[in-house]
Amino acid sequence: MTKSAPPTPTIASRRRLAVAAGGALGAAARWSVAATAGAVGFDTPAATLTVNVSGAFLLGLVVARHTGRFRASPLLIPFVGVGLLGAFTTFSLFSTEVLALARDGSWALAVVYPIVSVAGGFAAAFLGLRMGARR
Amino acid sequence: MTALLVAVFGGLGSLARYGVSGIVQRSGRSSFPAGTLVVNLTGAFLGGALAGLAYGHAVNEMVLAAAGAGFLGGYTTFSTWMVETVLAAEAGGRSGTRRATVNLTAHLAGGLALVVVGFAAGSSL
Repeated sequence: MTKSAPPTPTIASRRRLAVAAGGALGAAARWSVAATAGAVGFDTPAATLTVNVSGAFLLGLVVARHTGRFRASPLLIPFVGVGLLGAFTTFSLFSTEVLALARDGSWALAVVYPIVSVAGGFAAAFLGLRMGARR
Repeated sequence: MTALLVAVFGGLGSLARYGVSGIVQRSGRSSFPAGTLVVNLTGAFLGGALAGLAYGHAVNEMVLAAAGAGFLGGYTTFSTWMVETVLAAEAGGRSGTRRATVNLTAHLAGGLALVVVGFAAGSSL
């Protein structure tokens, strides 16, 4: 009997593993930011705004670094970009928070929150992409 | 314990996002970031449904955290939406600006409409 070699993971399956591992870390990080914000008396939209805008900045940095001269491991984007920062930020929570604000009758916040999120996220992603592209 | 559940389900949600957005993106020829849009709109609907369900029924806190903050939080993404919008805008020209504008409005209008529909569906269960 010849000893069979352990199956070599394909690059596709390694990418999936990197996405799942990064996603687990990103979701846990978002959860701890929300828990910390709650502990010091901030509502969840403040925590979600913080993770979403900072995550957009960081993803901009990572994407710019990766597409520039600096090409790291082929697993960097799946792990950090798709997994970690993808899961750190959230669209579902953002949407349900807008609905909750409207249902509570906080109409001004229900309008201001999405505007601040999108304007802040866009500016942060733009800044991250610019800073990441610099030497 | 809850943080661990959020992590595990966040990993699964991310994997689902990777799979779904890849399939959607490959199925079209356009460079429009439709994969992220499909993921975020379906995630907004499901998030609304979960909130509606929790509104009408007593749902276990751990289940809510695992499904909402974990799976759907990991499934949907804000950072990719923003970076793809900036990249579309920076691609320049009228079509770049149009793609960025459509990506923003489709997410906002579609996401908010679907979270309302999802809530109605979830609370009627």
